[in-house]
Amino acid sequence: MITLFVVIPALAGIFSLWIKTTVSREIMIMTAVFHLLLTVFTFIYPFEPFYNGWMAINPSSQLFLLTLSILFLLVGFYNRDYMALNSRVSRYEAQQNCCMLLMFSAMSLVILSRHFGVIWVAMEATTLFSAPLIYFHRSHTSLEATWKYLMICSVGIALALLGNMLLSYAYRASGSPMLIDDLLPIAASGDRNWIKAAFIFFIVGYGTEMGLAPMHSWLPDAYSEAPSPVSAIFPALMNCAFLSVLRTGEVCQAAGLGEFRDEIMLFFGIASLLFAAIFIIGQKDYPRMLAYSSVEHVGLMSLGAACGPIGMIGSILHMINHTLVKGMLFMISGNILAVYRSRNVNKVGGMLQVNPPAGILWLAGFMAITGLPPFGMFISKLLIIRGMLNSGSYVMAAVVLALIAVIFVGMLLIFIPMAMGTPPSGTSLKPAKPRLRWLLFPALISGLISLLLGIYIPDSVYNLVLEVSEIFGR
Amino acid sequence: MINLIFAAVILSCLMLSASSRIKTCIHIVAFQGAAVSLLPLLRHHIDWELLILALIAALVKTLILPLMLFRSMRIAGVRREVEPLISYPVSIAISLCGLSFALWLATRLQLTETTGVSHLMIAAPFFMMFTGLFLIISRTKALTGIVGYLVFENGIYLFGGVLGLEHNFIVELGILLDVLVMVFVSGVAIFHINRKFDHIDTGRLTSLSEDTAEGER
Repeated sequence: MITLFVVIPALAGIFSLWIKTTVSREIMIMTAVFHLLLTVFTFIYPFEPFYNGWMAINPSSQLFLLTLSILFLLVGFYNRDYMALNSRVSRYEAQQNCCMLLMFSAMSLVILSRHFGVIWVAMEATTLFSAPLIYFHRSHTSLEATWKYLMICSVGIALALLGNMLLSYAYRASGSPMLIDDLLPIAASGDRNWIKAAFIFFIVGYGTEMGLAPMHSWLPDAYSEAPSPVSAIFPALMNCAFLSVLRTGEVCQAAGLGEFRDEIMLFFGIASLLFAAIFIIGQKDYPRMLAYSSVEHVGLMSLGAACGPIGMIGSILHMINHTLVKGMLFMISGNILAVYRSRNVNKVGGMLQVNPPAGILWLAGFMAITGLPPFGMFISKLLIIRGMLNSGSYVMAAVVLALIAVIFVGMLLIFIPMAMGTPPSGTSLKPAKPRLRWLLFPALISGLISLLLGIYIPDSVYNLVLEVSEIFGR
Repeated sequence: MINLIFAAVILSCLMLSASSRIKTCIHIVAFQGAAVSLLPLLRHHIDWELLILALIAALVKTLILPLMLFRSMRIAGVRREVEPLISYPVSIAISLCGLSFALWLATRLQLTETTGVSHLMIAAPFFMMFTGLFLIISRTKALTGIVGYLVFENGIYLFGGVLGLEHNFIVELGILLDVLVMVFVSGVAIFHINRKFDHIDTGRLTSLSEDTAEGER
């Protein structure tokens, strides 16, 4: 049963490449619906582990699967209307949908597998399937972004392979088990220096895919060049990398190296916030701005994971909120691009007059992404800061708050003129087709879910988050 | 015998950083692939799983991957030079520095007692990884980038072999498949780069950076 999560999207991908019609859009949505139903079903009916526990369902995989399939379903609906608008490029559409579904399958495999080797193979597969997606527009710049993404992430993930080898060497006395469930009971018996080395390679390797600074250099290019349905799915890819880092951290923790893990994750978290703050200020390109904002948020996730139990709860909640809100913003940015035909901040203005629904959502997205109440990110950021204060790092908390404030101002100066300024004169704006309105619908839904998570978190979801944070942050 | 093979691997890495022809580079990668994938057969007692795995790895690393590289070389109509950003004498000097670093690292890691291998055998994979990364950084042709990635990956593979880690059949096959797909995807990318830009010079792929990102397509 558990293999269906991986097999069905893969088969759907191959099938949609084969039929080469617009039906592939519907196939994508149907696959996502099936995936979501299957995920919900895991809560009711316990699935048997597959192949000696190589793939298994536990609370962490349930939560990440749920986030993934909700996002993918929304993007599936978005993708259908996006493709209908961009009939010019429909020649490549079948390939595009195929790669997206294959990536969906590989991401599910990352989440479900309990074997470090399989996690690595699946992570590399997500990179390889997502690289062709960036080249959708067939422009010079998108090709350049694809190449950078392919080289940087492949080398990065190869470093994680080295981490795998070091980890298995650290446990050579116990026969080098690579199954997480076998490793955890004997974690303390490992060679501590080698585990430390392994963790560093893991976080550099998977951190590249996750977008942690200073390994983030591929990210702004890939995010800004990819078509918006693909950019909207990228946060889920980051979550997979984050989950992989958390799992290696789990082994570290069990081996008594929790403090070491926290120090490393704090370092990368602060570095990411710093880079994001520097590059968001004065950014002229709004998809790039959103990309740097992703760097900020993975930084916060990493920081939260390093700051005790409360920070870990915040980090997990932040993961969910970031996925929803970033997906929403990229979906809206596709809409803006369709109306204004420009990615330059200065050439987009007065969205509230030109395209009011998009303008309102864009402002709501701004509030959600910067963590203003009542959106869910407010709570998760608060918990992360609270975790830092609890663990006694007051200076760190002050630095983080200052950086968040800088990023807030930077984004304010971009979002507000775009929504409220005057429409650019002299350029002929494309009249908003009725179909464009439909593009906003999935964005609205994901924004509403994030809003709901800020006002009221259902008990079942909250308990799940608690369980997951207990697994990773004992 | 084993030490001799490792010495040959190290020498081939030096040749890589000195050679000016992509064809030679691909031949060297094929040789390294053979050495890396067949070495486990010399060290362990052999069972069927290990044998089949080594043969598949050898097939992929010495035959299929180089053939794919040659194919994308033909399609892209690459001239022979690898076009270094750093001149060949300097490249060799840097490589030698890398080699001495690898040897120093090998003596520091205290792996010889636990695994029973010589310092040279531990230094070789580190030097391969170093050479791979160096090639990616210092050569402008996209194809040399892939060659560098393969050398790097071979280095990691060799490291696993030297440490005598347990191979898991399915995972190893998965890793090989990933590398294969990586070379395939980047081959396609090179084809497109060649068609769009009339060159595969990654040094000239500079339109995306903070200086030029004006938000204009």
